[in-house]
Amino acid sequence: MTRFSKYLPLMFVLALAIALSSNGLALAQAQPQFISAYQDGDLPVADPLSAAWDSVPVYTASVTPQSAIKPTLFQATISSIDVQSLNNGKDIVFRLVWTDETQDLHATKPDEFRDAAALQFSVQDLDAEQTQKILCMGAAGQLTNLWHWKADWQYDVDEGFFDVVDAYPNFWLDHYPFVVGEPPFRLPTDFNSDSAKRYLIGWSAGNPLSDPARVTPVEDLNAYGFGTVTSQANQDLLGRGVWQDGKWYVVFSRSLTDNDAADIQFTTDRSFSIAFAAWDGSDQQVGARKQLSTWTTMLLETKEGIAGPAKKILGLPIGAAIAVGVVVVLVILGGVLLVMRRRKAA
Amino acid sequence: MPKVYNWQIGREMDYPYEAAYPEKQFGAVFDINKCIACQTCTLACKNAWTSGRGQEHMFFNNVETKPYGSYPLGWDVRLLEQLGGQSWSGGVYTGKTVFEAAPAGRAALGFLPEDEDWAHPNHGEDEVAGTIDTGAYFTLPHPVWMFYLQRICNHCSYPACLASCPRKAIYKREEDGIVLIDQTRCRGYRECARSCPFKKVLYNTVTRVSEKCIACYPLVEQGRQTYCTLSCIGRIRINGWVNFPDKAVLDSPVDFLVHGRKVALPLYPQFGLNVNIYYIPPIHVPSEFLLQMFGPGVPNAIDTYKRVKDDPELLGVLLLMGSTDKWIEKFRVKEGFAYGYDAKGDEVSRVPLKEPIYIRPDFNAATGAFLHNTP
Repeated sequence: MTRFSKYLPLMFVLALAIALSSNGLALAQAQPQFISAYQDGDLPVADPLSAAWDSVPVYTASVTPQSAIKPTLFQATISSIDVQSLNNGKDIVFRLVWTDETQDLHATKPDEFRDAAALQFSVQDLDAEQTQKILCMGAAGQLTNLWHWKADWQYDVDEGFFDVVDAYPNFWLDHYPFVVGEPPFRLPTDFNSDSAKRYLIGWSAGNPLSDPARVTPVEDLNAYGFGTVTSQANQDLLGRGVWQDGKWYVVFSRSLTDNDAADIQFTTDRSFSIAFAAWDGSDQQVGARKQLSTWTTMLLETKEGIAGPAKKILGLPIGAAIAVGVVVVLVILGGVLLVMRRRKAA
Repeated sequence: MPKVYNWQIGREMDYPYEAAYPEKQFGAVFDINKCIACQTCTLACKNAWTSGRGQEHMFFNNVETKPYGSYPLGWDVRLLEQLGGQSWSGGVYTGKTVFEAAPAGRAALGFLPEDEDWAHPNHGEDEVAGTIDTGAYFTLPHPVWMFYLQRICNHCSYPACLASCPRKAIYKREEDGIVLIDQTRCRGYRECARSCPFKKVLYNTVTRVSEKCIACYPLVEQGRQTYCTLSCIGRIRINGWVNFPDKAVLDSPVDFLVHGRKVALPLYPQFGLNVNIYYIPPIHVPSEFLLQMFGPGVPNAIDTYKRVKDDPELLGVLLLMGSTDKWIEKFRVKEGFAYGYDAKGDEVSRVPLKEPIYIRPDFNAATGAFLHNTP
């Protein structure tokens, strides 16, 4: 017997131990880490700077540059997002806070990109392991629901549509087809007829990005894989973002449940897979050029306490403990085998 | 990455998608020698397609002066610089295409023009390539030169815009190869604007999504030529179907000019997009510049073009340019005339190869008047 083959059983045991321990780590990672706290009464749905947020537990999500699909982001400009959530049994609100020294409010000039942030949920009730497998943006038959806040939409909602005459203060053009009113004209009012809209192609085609009459800064979307992001027919998200002292504070809210099958339903019988992303406009981050987190398991707190599928919550730590136990036993077994072989040889 | 065959660089090349060709391919030939940069094409296009709010800076068609003009600023020289040395060996391009030179994590090499780059559509207009010395006189090629370059979307066989859209919001129509952006799916990422070497995808500042030349598809669908073509007062343009060389239809005007006589050449073939707009290069410009812009076919194209008076077929097709607003599927030259036919075989155009000359006596005896040109 060669020296190498003598150690084969030991190597096998060690390899098995490493495999199991890494599996154990994965299980440990999938433990619930983020809880939507219960609070009676009104929620701070419109005020991201409300003092009500001070006492809400913070989950810090690490985010890294997107590298799974082209175009990738080479270097992160945002490293983490502080996430909080509250619910009152009827509505749910999330607050995302992240550092961004530059406030990029517009996507009007050809080389201009706005800041943005998003929440992502797996619509189906998948366990943590299944969720990790679908990676980001969902997969065929595994729908994700995305809540996408955009700084340019926020500006449009707060201040009125940011038009070319706002981006270029000395801009003047005498006439547009079928426009009404006086130069320099204003969107949407002076361009609201079907004939005038025909010259604003994205708008007349019904693209939500092109609608100058916005009512919310948060877009409700679905995706079932890379490149499939699609705006929903039913837009039922509210939100508000405020930039202060080099940080964005953005709230997203909705009723816990609704009648839209494409929406995440925050029912008390399950846990939720949630992920976060942020874009830095001054770094020309848009679309796949973003920082994103891994999936996190989220649980809902109700008046009665933490809700969710009991066996899953308890199951995970037990599973991890079993895995660690098996590893320890195998390592000991390997050691004993080695000692026995050495004695035999001696 | 899949390999596709690009006949314009004489070899296979990398492209993010497998080769897929339309049933027919929209194309055009522009004769640079005949253009006076009157911009009638530019305004016809602007009036038709980009007169809306947010489209102020957009020219799906523009005409710029070479060597110094460019719109957006430096679209060509900046990419040429990024691409580095571009060498040919015979008819084969041995350098890298924009796909082969793509940086990690990107579909194609390119850059996003800055806001100010869109501010000067007539930058460099009518500027010549150098200074004119005392006593200078014209030789061929001209020692001091300039020419006009007419530009629309090339409706490429391997579009870089389409290749780089992560949402697949850009598509190539199966029936005519026209490249379009789905206005309902575009989300304004501008990856296409970054990757298009010709910078012919433009961002709408109001709808916040991108738009591009649509090859006047509503006209093409009706068997008509594009607005830029039919409005050209210099009659420098002709639209037609264009095929790969092995499938060339030589009694079709564009295929005849591209593959038959080889007088019409692709713009920057080394970028690797297998473009479908072709140019008859200007005969007065030094070949170094033209070789970089139109590839190794330049000397043959200029030589053939200069001998047009001895080539009735070539002359006939050049005269059919701008002679009709109808789409010419086939042409024929016989008995001193060039004829254009539509898809049904009906005659849509007839032009004489030589303008008839009438000689009249300079004295009209009946009226007792002399007939002469009085300024």
